[in-house]
Amino acid sequence: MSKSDSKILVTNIQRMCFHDGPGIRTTVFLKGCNLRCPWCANPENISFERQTYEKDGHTGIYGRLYNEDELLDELMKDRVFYGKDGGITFSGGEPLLHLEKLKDVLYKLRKEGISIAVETALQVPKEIWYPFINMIDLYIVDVKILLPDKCKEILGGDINIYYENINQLCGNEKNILFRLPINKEFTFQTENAEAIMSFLSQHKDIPIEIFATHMLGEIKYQSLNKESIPIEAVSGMELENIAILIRKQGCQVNINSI
Amino acid sequence: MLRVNGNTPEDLLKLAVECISTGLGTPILANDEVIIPCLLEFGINEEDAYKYTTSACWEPLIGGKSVGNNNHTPLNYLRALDNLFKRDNLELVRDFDQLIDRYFFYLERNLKAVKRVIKSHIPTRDVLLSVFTYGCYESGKDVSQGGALYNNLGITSVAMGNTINSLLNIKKYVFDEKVYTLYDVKRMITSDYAEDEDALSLLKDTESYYGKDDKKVIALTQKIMDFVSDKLNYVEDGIEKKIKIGLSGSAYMEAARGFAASFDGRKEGAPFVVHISNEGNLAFTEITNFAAKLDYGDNRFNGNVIDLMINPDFINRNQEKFLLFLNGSIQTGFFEMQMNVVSSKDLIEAKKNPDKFPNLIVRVWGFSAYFNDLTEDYKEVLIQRALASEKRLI
Repeated sequence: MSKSDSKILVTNIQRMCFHDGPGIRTTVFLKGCNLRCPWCANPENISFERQTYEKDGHTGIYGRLYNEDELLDELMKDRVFYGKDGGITFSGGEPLLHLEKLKDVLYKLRKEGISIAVETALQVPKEIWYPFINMIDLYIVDVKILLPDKCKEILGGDINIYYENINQLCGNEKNILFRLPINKEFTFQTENAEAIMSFLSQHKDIPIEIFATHMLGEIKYQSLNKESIPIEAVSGMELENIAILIRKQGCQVNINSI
Repeated sequence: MLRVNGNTPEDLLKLAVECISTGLGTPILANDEVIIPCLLEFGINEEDAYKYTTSACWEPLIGGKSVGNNNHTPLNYLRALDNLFKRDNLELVRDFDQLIDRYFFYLERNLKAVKRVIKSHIPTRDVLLSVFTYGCYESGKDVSQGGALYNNLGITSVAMGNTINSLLNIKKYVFDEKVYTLYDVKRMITSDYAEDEDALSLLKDTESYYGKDDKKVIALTQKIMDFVSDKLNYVEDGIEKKIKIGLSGSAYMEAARGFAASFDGRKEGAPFVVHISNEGNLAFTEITNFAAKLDYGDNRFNGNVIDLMINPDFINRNQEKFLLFLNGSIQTGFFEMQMNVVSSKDLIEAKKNPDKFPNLIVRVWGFSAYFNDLTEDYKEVLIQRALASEKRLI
């Protein structure tokens, strides 16, 4: 493995995050994803390669390679703010695809007693992520498109892998938080919404967070010369109503108003 | 002011967050964990150190036992750099270390001037103050003769942020990347960037260093603080007085009026950086870590306040997590922290239509005031800071 192959490709490290898990967290956005969600707010995190972009007449590069020590230095800066609940959240992109490169970083963070979370779509074959299952304290798992054909067609995903992985997490009694990106065009289109409700009712003990997908990534799409798909805004009232429906399934749900 | 420490009850801190989030600008938080050791090291008795309060805005004071103006005169850190460019033979300044040496040469001259100002102030007899000041009766001396138990004075300061940013920009663009020469810099700051619009926009896009928890930035700030601390530690104005210095000062607009442009992209007359602040920081933890890593010992404790601009939505939606941030900040070891919780939208609207916002309050220096009572340029400073600060929310 060459030197740059062992480095970790990161687009952004965001400190003092309040919305990516419990407590105060530093969120690491890893570059590279296996899905293509049409509402993706971070299109710069899809490709596994560094990408040049153009914004306001300036050109720049999405993605910076960190070696382990550089990344750890950055993650340890807010150590004192993490307390007992906060810590590091690896997001992306799909963090489970990056665990092999991150393993020493994860090991060192755990040694320091720092809690580790991942924000994952969980559609990654078991053999890639399972060896690291106990390195992660909290799995923040997306619940997106559960209809098998639509999942493949729209996201390029495999819902059977997802269900198998959910079973692995549950079987190993891992901490899970479900996160539902809400939009009318895809995730809460009638049939899929029904599938989601049925799925959630089978996992009543797992807390849920819902949020409306947004167009905040629009500028990033432009900077990459990519077309974004227009998504109709979901109102606070509509989110409230969805939360009520989910609660009726006997689930515990919070609205994340980012 | 709320004095806080590692044992401050959670419910009291929660109450402070609720009060701060109303936008009243109070309370300012003072961290006992950092301030009391500084007072003890300075020679204040333990019993008195634990009872400290602040004088005008941020300067720790032992009430009833000390005499001496704590905000005597503001030191402008940028003046020495301005002197350097206007008076030095730039040909002889070949690297960044030499630049710093020359900066200290002019800074020392400025510090001598500060001492002259202090000495020119002759204390007058004050019987009434002496009656109420501990030590005068016991020593049989008037306050003007050094009768008080503690006789020391303090100076405030401005433009440390502009100085650090300018110096590090010179390091980057002149010595490291060689984009400009020192003569170019001189031309820019003396002509107020008249023919250097490109350089101005480059500097405005350059990250501002002051307030980043970066080892080099912290080391340079500390080096300048230590230099001033060493050269300005006492003065003889009839009696020998220790001098205290700090990184806060209310003159960031007044002292900046008419003051030449600087190589941090600041135009002539534009306000200096406010206390310890950096609206370009993406997280508040960054400036807290920066401020906490500075050493305020010896005499460097004459007020060192972090000044945060916070959008009301941000704090109101996240009060519990903001509380975690404050707890972490106390542990990290900030000196003092004050917060303006106000949105740029309200400020801009209030500037246009004052009648609609008769009760809009903002924090000014060590106190809060009605926004409508502020001068137009002060209103503008708050608006610009709020706008810059809100970028971090996106």
